[in-house]
Amino acid sequence: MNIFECPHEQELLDAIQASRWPDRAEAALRAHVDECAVCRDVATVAPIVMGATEGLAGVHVPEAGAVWLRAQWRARAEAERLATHPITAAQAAAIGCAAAISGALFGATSAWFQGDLAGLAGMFDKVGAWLPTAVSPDGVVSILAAHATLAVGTAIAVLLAPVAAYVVTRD
Amino acid sequence: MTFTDARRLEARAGDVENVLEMDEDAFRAFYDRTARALWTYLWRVTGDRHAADDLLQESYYRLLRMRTPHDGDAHRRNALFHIATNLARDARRRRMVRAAWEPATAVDAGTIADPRNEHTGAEERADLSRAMARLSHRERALIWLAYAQGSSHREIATTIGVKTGSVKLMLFRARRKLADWLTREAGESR
Repeated sequence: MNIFECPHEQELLDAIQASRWPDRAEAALRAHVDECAVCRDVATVAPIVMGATEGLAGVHVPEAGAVWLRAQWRARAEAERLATHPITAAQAAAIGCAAAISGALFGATSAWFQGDLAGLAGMFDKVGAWLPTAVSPDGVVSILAAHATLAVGTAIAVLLAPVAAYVVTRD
Repeated sequence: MTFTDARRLEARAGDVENVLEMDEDAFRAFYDRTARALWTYLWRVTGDRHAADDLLQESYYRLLRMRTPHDGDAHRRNALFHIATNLARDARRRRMVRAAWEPATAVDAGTIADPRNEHTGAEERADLSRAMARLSHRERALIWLAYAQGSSHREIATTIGVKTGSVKLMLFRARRKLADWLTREAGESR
């Protein structure tokens, strides 16, 4: 037998449950409880805890109908949120693509923008004069000038990607 | 939103009834059989009647949203109490974190009062409340499940998420502690 359990525990619990403990319980059980530490604790704790459940009928809980309606409302709201989630993702992706294409077209067709880009390339040229010869600024400038549309589109996509990712995953 | 999207939404929302674990009549019957016992359990474990109110509704909602079917009422009841136990534990952790940042709002375990004492003035219940407040969350759950609910060791193990073999020892320790506090409370009130 373990020190933390006793074979008479259930017998004692039955007596407590049937309100026979202690006065109407068998003398042998009472004698055992006097000597057994486990049963003594059970005899101290169980009647009080069981007694605390007597007023259970007086406990106020919400109406079953109200809880059911709230559960339905929440389930519906969650289902709607799940249903709209893919739409939000598609919309965000579409906006991102449209913005990237618009930017690329603007970059390819705007004389003002290309003029500024050439200015930027000139600036690179000046900065490049200060750089070690190992890195050729002329190469960078010529690549930028030759693929202006691609460069602008890539820059816009890079800028828009975190925004699109945020919009898609914000839920 | 396009017309197709709207129809898809409507169809999804219409599926809610199928998403919930049981129909309304079955839920009402189950709720009426278990709600008071669950509220009392939650209140005993958390020591806070407002928390018990909130957690009661959340427990039923989570049970309704469970995808796994239950074999019967007893199985469903065990699942409900398991959910409630986890929610109560999480709520206690949140409260502990909050209390660490706001010491003035920390819950004093010794002041947990039985709401029914306001009407009955039962000294024994007050003693039990004070003594229970000195136990840990898990110990309170063990004691309440074992003696108030009459749950078997296996049911207790399922509810609090431990091995069945561990319940005996854990219950022994919790009972020892509570008996000790109850004896002291009784001695002080004399």
